[in-house]
Amino acid sequence: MKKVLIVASEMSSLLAQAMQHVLADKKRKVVICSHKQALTSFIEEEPNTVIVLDYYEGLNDGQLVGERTFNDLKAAATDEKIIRCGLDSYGHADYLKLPCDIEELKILLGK
Amino acid sequence: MKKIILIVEDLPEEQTRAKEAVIAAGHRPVLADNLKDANRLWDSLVGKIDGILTDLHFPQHGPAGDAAPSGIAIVLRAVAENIPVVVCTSEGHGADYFKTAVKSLEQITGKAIPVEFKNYPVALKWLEEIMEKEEKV
Repeated sequence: MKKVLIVASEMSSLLAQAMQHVLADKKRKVVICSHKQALTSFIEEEPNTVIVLDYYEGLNDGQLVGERTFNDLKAAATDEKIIRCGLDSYGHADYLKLPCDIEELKILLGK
Repeated sequence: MKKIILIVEDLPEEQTRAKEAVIAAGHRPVLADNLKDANRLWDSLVGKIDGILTDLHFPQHGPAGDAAPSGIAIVLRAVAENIPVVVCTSEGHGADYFKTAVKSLEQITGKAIPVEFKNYPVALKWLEEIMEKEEKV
């Protein structure tokens, strides 16, 4: 079974739960964790894909810690897919601007 | 399960080489480019880091540039927390003082702390040997 880890903050936890509800099925398990626990969960859960919410470039020590979490996970990734999601527009191929079409997200997740 | 290896290195090209060597050996890399970041990751992964590959000269905060001998702090913390550590520094980077200090530390603790010259596969072999010995104890 494939596993997806969603990294969320208090602010984005409702969105994470909605994503979990939509993405979880017989072939895909979806786990949610906080940014603080992201690296630990990544190591323990061994997901195939990680969705990092709250992605914003330039506010690492503020509340929006998505960029730091993304960088930590990207550096620790071996063959896992790391997807970043946020409200701003960035040109990264692995970035999804929110709100997003769930089909778009599923395409990024792959089969 | 994969071993978790903390890599502390400020130069992007060296980070890539170190990360590739760790992945090629079947382990999981965790990467920090300065002392503050290394301590943050270390604190967040309490009890999960199996071994450390550290540079000697890298910044205490921020990106590459202001390179203090921060590796000393990493080695001392690793020794204090009983985590195997190997130092990967540049040859001729004024590391002689460090080798002398490490020899003394090895005598005091009875633990091996190898110093390699940016040869990550060799450094990793050293680290694996020490990790294996620690597991048997």
